[in-house]
Amino acid sequence: MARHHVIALAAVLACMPALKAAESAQADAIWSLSLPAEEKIDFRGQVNFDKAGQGPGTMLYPAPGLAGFIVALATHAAVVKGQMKEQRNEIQADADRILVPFRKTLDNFSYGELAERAFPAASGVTWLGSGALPQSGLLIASSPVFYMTQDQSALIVDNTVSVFEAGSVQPVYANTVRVVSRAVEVENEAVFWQKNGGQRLREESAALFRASVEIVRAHALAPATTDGGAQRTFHYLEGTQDAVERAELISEHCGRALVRNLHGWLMSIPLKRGRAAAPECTAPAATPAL
Amino acid sequence: MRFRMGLLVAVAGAWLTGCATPPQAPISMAYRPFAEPGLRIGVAMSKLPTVNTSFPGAEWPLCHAAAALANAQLTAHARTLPADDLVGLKDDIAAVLKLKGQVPVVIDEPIVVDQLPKAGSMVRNATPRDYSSLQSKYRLDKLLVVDLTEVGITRAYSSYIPTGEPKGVVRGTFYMVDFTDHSYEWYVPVLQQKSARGNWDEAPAYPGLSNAYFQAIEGARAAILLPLAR
Repeated sequence: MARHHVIALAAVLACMPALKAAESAQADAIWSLSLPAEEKIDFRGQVNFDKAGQGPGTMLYPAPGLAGFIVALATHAAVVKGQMKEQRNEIQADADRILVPFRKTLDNFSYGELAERAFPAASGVTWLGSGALPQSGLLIASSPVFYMTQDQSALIVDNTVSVFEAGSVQPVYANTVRVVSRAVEVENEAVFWQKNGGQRLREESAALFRASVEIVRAHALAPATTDGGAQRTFHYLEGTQDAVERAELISEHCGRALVRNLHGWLMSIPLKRGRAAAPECTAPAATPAL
Repeated sequence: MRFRMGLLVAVAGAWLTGCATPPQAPISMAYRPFAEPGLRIGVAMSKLPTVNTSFPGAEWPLCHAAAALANAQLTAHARTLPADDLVGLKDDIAAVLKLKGQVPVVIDEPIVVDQLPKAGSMVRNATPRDYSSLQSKYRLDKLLVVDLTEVGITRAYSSYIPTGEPKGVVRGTFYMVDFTDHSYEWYVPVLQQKSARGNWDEAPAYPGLSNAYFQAIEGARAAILLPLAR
């Protein structure tokens, strides 16, 4: 069951049109990759700040004179700002608690392992470590941040990238690519991810990361589109929860959509299952690494 | 003297509280409200409010002026945001009702609830306004009303100081009037407030906050469409 899920995920990611486009459009380009210098991967609990803030209130400033009023106002602003910051930190800390069962795995999951799993030797992308510059071709300087949904059923990567040509310090492309995995359908998500020393957590993180990099490869050198497509509201799944993004559709295939959101980010999102999947979407993946 | 003062306070209190109309409590949708097929259900909407910003907590004129000035660029942007997905809500409701075997009657013109005559019914959950004119005009068994009062972006204040980040907001009520006794069969106050993911302060286009606004719209749509479809 679990193995089937991994294969299905790999198949879905392999079906993404962006990957195919990358293979055809950038077949002759030499790509290399750099990742942050930090040892540990940035992994967080998915957070929602909808309930942040203190709500409306009323404050009287019983201070004598204009100077007193200004001091009272500044004090009030400083106090509120501090409280808001503290509240946001608490919300993020609460969100991160879902990672507690995976802490041991995440503590020894390095960027090096991520790169090796996502881009093995024959993948056509060379990992250069941190801050290295390639002699030729294109460098993707990548800063991925991973999130686990609060129901622990799915992973998300926000991969902020800059693409440099060899010898240049000016990026030819900069963007953030978000890839959202489809929720796993298992009895116990924590057990699923943690099995075999967190093997599945590592594999799926690498699959998402690779998908995000392949999207970059497909779009970094593509001519910029001047006529933005029609914006519409997309419903997709973040874990088992309905999520909403205002975006423009780039492509849709095998139950996933690649969209450009209002920030200009590229997002690969799992759509709600509707009609039956096409045969090529259910076929086992050709590249098990995905 | 003390007695007179106490009496005055008591009378003033009774007078003021007597004037206040208690807010309608939410009413859950009845079990299988559409069990009887073929009911003519009107679908009406009040005039959609202009998409705008609001600053609750900054009501005093000077506070409001300061908040409006500090958020002028955000207000200018908010006024450019489309509300098409709310405009089409009546048709979406009608489609759901049709799937439930009912006969939806979409009332094209916006209704102005405050201009309807006051109702005098004493039944439980009676509507304060009389919707009989719509009942007779469209030959309705029930009437479903979408009454939105706020659409846009809101930022809470405590006098001059913001107490939170701006959020996309949709506020209003959805209710269904049963014309057998002119009472609410379903009454749902809706308040959807959605935060931007990450930094909100991205003038002039405010993409994160704009997305939160569209999320609030979808949240409001779901609040009415999902219970109806259940």
